[in-house]
Amino acid sequence: MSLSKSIAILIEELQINEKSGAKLYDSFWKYIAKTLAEDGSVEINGIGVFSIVKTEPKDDKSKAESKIIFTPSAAFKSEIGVGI
Amino acid sequence: MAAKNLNHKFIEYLYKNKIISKDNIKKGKDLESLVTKGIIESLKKENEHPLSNFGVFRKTSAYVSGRNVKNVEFIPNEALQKSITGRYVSKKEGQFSIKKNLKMIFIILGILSALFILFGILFTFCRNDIKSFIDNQKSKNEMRKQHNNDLSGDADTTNDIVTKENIDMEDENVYATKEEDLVIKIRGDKDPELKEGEYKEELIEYNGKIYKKFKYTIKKGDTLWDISAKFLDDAFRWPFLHNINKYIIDPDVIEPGDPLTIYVENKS
Repeated sequence: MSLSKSIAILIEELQINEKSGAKLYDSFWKYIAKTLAEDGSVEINGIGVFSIVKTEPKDDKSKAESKIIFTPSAAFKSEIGVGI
Repeated sequence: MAAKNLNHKFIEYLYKNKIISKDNIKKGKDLESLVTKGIIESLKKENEHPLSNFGVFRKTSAYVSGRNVKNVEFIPNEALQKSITGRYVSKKEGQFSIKKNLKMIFIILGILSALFILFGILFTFCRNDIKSFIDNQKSKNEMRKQHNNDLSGDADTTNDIVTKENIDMEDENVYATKEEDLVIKIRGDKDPELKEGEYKEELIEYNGKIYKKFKYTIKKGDTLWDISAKFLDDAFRWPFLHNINKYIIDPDVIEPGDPLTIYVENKS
């Protein structure tokens, strides 16, 4: 499982137990969400940039919305084999 | 936020929220790069990688101009999407938004409330003054009404009730004062036989007592004070004169030529 892979690396490198590893992984993304909400954008080294973008409504009846978009870095795309 | 600071800030966040111990922090590991490494390793083999409650990375492929183009997309968690992007923004400029103007609404309501409280306090303190003013006006109106009643009626009846034979105790115009002198409201009709400063005198009987009744015509310069001193031997009894002659509304204002009726108990 991919989630376990990420946690496994944390456990191995930091020499912590599984529970702590999972907690750490969750905390990372909670922190990213918090930073995104406060600053409007956040860049993760080796992954890319998450940002909030406002979209204008198409007409008077529809609402203007904000969306979270992700811009992958070239290195990330290259590592995972996309963009070819 | 720049990528360089992210690891440092994240570690601070972990420490403040007591998520990991100091020992792990001191190890100086780059937690950011460890997380990234795990994601990359996972996406090399899998098409999808969950990011806890943040969202999901998903590899996609599409044919563009005959070519298979691969990409990676991020699908945010629904709850996250709602929390970050749940606000409605009006397209029209100038459209009133309650949420945006909530602060101003509260300030206006606060000012209005303060004004209401201030008026309430002022009214409480001045209530007695306002009440006295209203009562004063009422009594003046009543006096005017009474005065008009006194002056109305049969103009031919100019004489007061004065003799024992025709005194009418049922007449509402007949009543006694505290001093038990005879008191009658008069209509203020002028006696053509009397010039200014002149008077007529006659004796009358009332309630077993004999009274001298003077009918005096006011002259220029007269005051109730002087007239009381002349007929009642006591200037301080001028309110008694005023009380008898009810047509006089203001005791400080008496007109030359107007009649004045005075009763004095005849003790001789």
